[in-house]
Amino acid sequence: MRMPKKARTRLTTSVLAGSASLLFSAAALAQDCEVKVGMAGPLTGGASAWGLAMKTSMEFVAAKHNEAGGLPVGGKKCKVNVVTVDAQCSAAGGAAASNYLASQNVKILIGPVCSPETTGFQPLSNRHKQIFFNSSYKADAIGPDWPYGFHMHQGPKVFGPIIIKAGKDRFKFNTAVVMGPNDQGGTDSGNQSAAIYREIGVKTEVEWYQRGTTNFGPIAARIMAQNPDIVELAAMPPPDVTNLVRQLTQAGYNGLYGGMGGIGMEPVVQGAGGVEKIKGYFWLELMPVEDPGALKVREDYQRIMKSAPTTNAMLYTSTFAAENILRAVSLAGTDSDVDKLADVLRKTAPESEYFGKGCWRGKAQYGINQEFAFPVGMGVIQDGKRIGVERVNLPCES
Amino acid sequence: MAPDRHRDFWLDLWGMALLLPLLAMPLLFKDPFILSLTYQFAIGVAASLSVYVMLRMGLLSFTVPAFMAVGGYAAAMLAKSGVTEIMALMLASFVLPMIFAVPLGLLVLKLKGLYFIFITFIFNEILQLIIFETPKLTGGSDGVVGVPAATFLGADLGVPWRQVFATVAVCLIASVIAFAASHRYRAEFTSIEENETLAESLGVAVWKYRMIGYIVSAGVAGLAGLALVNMLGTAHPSSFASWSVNNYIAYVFVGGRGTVLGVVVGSYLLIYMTNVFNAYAHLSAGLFGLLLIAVMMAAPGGVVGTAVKLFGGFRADKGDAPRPAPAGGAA
Amino acid sequence: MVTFVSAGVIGLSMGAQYALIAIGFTLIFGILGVVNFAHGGFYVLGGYLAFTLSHVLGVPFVAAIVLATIATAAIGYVVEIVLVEKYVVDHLATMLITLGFYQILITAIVVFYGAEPMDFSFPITGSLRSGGIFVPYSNLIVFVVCGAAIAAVYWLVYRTRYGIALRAMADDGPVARSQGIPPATMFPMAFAIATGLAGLTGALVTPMLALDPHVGEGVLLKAFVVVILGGMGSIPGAMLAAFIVGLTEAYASVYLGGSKGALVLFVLVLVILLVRPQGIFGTEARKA
Repeated sequence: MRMPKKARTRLTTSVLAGSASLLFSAAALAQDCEVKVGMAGPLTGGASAWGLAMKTSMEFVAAKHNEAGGLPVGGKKCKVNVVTVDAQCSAAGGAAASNYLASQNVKILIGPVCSPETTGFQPLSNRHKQIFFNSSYKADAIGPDWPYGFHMHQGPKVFGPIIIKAGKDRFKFNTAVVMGPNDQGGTDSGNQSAAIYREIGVKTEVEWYQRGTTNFGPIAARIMAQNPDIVELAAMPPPDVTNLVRQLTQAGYNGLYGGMGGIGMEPVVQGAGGVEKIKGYFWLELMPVEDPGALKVREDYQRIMKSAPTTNAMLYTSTFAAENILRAVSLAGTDSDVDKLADVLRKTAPESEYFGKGCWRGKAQYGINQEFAFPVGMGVIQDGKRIGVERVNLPCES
Repeated sequence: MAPDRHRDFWLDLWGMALLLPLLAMPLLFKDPFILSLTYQFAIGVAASLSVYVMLRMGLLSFTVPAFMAVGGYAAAMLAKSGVTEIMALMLASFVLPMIFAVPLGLLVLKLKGLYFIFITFIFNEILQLIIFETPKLTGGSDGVVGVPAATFLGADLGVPWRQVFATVAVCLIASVIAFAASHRYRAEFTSIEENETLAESLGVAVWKYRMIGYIVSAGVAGLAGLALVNMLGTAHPSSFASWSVNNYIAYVFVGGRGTVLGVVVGSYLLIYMTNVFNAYAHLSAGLFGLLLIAVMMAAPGGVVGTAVKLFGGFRADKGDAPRPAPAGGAA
Repeated sequence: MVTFVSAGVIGLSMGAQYALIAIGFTLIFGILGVVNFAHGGFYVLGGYLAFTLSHVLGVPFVAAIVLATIATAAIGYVVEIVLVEKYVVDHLATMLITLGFYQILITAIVVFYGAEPMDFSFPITGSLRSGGIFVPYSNLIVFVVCGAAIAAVYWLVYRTRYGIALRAMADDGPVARSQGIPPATMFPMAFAIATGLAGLTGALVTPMLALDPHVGEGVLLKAFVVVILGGMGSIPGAMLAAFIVGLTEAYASVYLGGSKGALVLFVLVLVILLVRPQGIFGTEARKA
């Protein structure tokens, strides 16, 4: 998954140029109809890597339809426009984003991303009737209180038991330290992951660190003193993971790592200084990243957006969500009749050009069946070798 | 530029007058973006007036988010326990931060300049950590969610337009308090700002007025916190993040630090532009930065301060007064 | 025991890093009276420049660090002349101007490099080990470089004509001007030295920690803590405070955890300042 650095460096520049040209062509083309979809999430600040990955994925899927002449809606081919807004990773920002999108007549969107954003967005989604696919790990990311709320991917409660159990079978660990920053983004995922480790009989401690910690040396020394078999990186953002793994490696840590936060392989490998230096790491990929479909996403992205796709793990899940949003608009024949759109979404199984068919789930956990059930991936590094990413099927509910 | 008391009073009144249209907005408009701007304006003005009150004495207080949090959380907890009457909520979120301000003020009001700025900033960081460490009391990182809508004499304020109206009303009351306090103690505050030692030797109890200012500033911030909680239906730590104070300070300085009108104009301008910039994805922060620099370079006294200077100069030209020297440094 | 010593070693190495970043910050305040909100931005910039030079263009690591330091100093020089110089008497205006510049700088970095962290690593890995106690080689190198840089600044400020002039400006601007010291050349140069130090810290330290566009915020907060604790504008104060902060952070985080550790650090700083409101080495507070 390593990309040439130059390509990565140029990524955002060209994405920018891409979206600008998209805007201009929109004005020039003036097709006979247009549909609006939205994206809300953290586009500035520490969490922006996630938000920007979602934004570019949504724009990619829109551009793909536009390239093919438009999205078929009720017998016409419509140009897809993406309206994005920065929700700033806060509750107030989430609320403002909902209001802004409502005034732009955007009725269906991907986002928000951060837990606080979702907290602020949820109540307003009822008032403004907005279908939103959030990607937070909030304990109540969706629920009967917010009938238009959908979940882009599963939380640790779903994939955690399967992957952590598989990890335990492979690596045989008995003690764990679960890490997370001390805010809602950290505690949501950290507490859920810790509960799963405990359920399968692993003695587990939770360590919260100050968001914005610049040097993980002391935290590493603390972990060394606890001497766990495995350090679960749960909700740590990628730079923090790299930083912590670096300090642990220097301190002589010779244990395992777990990655339930969806950060993929790279941050840990960067921190350790190479795959060969890692004794054991198993991690969640929100999509099976080695399936041919995932490679095709990268290819198409490169071709259509004329730039390299992001290395962020959100690329695939957001592409999947974006595909289904546009598919629902096409099937419902509207981008504004929210109840019809929601009905279509609930009644048809999610489907992707890249990842095949999925289904819905969520009833048992959240009380509402509005979460994509889709295979995820479990990546493994063992004894300094990359074993690969295995497909893990998740159960549907209907 | 010598302060012109009469003119400043009118500028302050104009600032208050500019707030009144906000009350009409929820009655006239249904567009969610306009309503969103309306409540953001109201809350932004109230919060920056909390900064403004202290600035009248030359103290730049960074505690605003912490006091907003105290007021906001107090209201959220009260509403959760069944007390939804907005008058009661206002009382709680006005008084509680003021009580908090007394011991804090005793600790920090002897500090000046950057030390004061810094200590008050630290309070925000400490409060965030305390919220995190006390999940049973404050909900920890999840905040207090599902806060029921406020009521006014039994009438439900949960309907969208009423909610915005109530938010604006709360902020207006906070603004009136800030306005009243800064005028009631104008002479004392100004003498403290201009020359503290002199003020002291002339018999102004500097300590006492600083405390009064700090307490009022805390109460005003608390009401702004209530307004935000009432609008979002949740008291969330992210609503009171330490860095949010940078925004309130920017509103005051960009608009003009000397008058209420400046605070109002700065809040309106920056909040509106922030909302516009938010649609420009990752460029929004940079655009905000550009705007900050542009305004501070073109109008170092803020929009209103500089306008007054130009207009004042123009008026002086017409009369017999000698032509004023070209605008030099700010403040 | 091993943990206790390790925490001490980590605390000292963090202290050295904090000292380096804080000295620049305090220098700018002491001489110009400017609270440079962009200081963390120059740290990030130093990191990205060193990364680009060494990992993309293939410049040797040491040369990359030197070039990154010079480049951040040069950019600092220009920023002072273009943005800060004219408003230097107004501390509050310069605070907002530097804050604005910081936001533009970080946005530019996101535009050119993306928001994802960079794969930037120190060329020398491994640690000096003895009985469970370890000192990473990279930390030793940073410690030495920090020591040298601090000594150089100290020499510059206290032993050269330029330094005497700078300190004269800091002590009493109008008098220094009347003595014929030209602020027009002194200010940009002081700003450049300070931002160069921030750039040097970023270039050296980000490959040991992490490099993404937002790592500067935590660094600015730390610099602020250190400088206030040491006494605004005091170089020896900043150095002492840096080690107090580094060691406190290390011990509190090791024994209480990261979140509670941060709380302890802030409360300690609060207590020290309430006892000594002007900071450890500060004299009279400069009015801002």
